[in-house]
Amino acid sequence: MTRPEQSAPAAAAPTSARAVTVAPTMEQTPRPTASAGPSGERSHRDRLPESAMWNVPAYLLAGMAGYAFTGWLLDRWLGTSFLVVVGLLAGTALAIYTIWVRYGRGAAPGLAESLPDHDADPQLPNRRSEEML
Amino acid sequence: MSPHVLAAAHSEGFEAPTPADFWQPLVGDGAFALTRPMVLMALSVVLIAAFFLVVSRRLSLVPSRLQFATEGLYNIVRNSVAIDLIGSRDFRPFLPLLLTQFSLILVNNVFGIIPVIQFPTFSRIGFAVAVTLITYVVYHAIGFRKKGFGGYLGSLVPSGVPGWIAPFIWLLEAFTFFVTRPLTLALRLFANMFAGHMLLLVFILGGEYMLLHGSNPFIQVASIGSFAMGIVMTFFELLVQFLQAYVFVLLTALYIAGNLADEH
Repeated sequence: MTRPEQSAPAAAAPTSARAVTVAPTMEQTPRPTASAGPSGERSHRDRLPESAMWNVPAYLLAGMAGYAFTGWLLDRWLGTSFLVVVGLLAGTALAIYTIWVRYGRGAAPGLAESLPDHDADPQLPNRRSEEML
Repeated sequence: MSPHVLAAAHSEGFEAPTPADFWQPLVGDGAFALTRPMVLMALSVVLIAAFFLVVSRRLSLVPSRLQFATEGLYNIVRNSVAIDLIGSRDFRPFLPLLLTQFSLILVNNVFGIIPVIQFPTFSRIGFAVAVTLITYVVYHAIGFRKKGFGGYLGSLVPSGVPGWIAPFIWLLEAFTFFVTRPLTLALRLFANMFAGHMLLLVFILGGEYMLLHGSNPFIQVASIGSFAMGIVMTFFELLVQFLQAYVFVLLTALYIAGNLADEH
């Protein structure tokens, strides 16, 4: 990897050092889009990550209301009265966890670009778009 | 003198707008009444159809101002919603649906601030439910057709979660896909239009009441502030009306894209 203008990177601060390593990589291998797979056809889906945030309210509501309702049904069935609260709290936690699984893991655009191993390692799927749906 | 006047003014005091103000039957009453939003919805369909027919009949390589504006609107849906979310390979069959929903919602929302018409159709929840139902049927139909019945239901859980938690996440995803997605979609549109129109009613009716029925000149002068807020909120409403139309098709495209996505 050639660094034409940065001949002394050792003395650079950590922030500028990262900029030095990232910039040439992007010049050499321009990534067409976030989700261009092997076929390369599925391009122009750049705005998927930022648009996926509109799904978050639906998940939170599903976690709270759905599991509170499930707890209420179990309460009626078992004759107890505490499962509504358990369902509400556990459902909320589960919703937040699911949102993290779908949108949080490796979803930060800048982060994924600065980690070359993410693309090189086939074990690590590119989560940036497909998992967000 | 003044207590008497105040009491008299109070007896016929300001009546704040209520949700009942949104029920406006024109012909008949009850469940089968012909209401104002029904007429406006029909009017919007006629307007949109006529508009697109006129514009598309006079297409030219050097676009007129009208064609330029229409293409701008079309490109919002085509490029920044359909292609950006569904992808350049698959977006084409869904473009008519997205453009229709966008223009229908946009025109009916903007009806809320056009003089004389002045009623956002989607502030009646039935209309919001109807457009949401189309989205709901379309994205589930795509999912079932693409992945099969069991395959679609099985694909709800994202990959890479621990096995013991997967059933709970499946239930959460099922609630999300089948209940809260359409619920939030319909409620977001309805509530924004309803609340926005309510806000305009409060400021403008309040200003009108202060001006015409104010008991002293100070209150009548203060109505200027209420009217000014009414004007400011009208422009703000225009922004919200556009944004809600955009968000609605954005989410429709997002749900379609999710069920079109290839399996891992």
